[in-house]
Amino acid sequence: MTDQSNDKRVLALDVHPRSFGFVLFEGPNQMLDWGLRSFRTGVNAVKIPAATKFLALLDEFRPSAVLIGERPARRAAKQIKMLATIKRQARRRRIPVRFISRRDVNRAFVGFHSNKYEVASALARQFPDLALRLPPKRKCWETEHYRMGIFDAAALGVAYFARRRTRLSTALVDDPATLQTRVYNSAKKNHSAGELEPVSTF
Amino acid sequence: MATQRLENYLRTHRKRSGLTQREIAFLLGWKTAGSLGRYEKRRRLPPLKTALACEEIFGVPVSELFAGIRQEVSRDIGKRRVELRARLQTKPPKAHGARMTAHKLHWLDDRERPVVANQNVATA
Repeated sequence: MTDQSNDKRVLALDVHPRSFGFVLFEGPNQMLDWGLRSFRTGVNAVKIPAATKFLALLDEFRPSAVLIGERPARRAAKQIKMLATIKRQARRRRIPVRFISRRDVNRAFVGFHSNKYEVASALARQFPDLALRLPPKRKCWETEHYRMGIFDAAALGVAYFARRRTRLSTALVDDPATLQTRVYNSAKKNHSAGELEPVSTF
Repeated sequence: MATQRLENYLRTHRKRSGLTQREIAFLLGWKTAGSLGRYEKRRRLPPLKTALACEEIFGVPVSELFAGIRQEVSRDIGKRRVELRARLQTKPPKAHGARMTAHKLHWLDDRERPVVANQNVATA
């Protein structure tokens, strides 16, 4: 029997100031689509706005969640605008937006977190479909390769499913006695912090 | 609850193959790739001949390539099968038709059981 609780269709996005990489997952082991969408301005401006491109992805794949990476507070203005658009459009279609922290990604790739290229190589091994898209290793004087967006998005997807699996297994492993202790300890902690009364539900 | 599958997985399998839309269009015997794009984006439904050609090209059964449609059809048929069984059971059987009705009900029961691939038959 297949585990149907974990075969959600999710759209992972890696947003950059001038483009975004996307990967569509159906369950942790199946990638349905991947690619990059550019919305650069200037001389070689892309005619179709970023929001339209994102909407096309939502309408085409109807994902059950949109994944975005949490980044440091400093972001480019265009990136902030794009993220706001994504959140707004996803909310309009009642699709939840999940933020995946860098720590979650590192946890999913234990031993590979020294640099992005190692994570990308690990992904290329896990998903042979992506192997052809793996960019060459970046030299220290080079900028990040355009296609790296796909791998960053894929890493978010893998981290999301790994986190989900951990939560599911934790919930399954918990026996009622452990759960009771956990709830009581949590309530006690809140009480000591002056938030709530310790409530025994059992 | 299982996720509603996509109507078709043509794009997924094409991307896995590494071929472009134009190359697939060439294999299908077309001059342009416009129609293929419309099928991939689920704006149009391909004719049976094209669907079978896609099965041949990708080496994936039509029911897998068009998994969403398959799921939908299966659900609809399931509902109607229950309805038909109810109709057959409520219909007063005529003398010569009783055996036929019993046969039909038996056949419907058989069809309701899930088909398992590579099922091992226990030998006595």
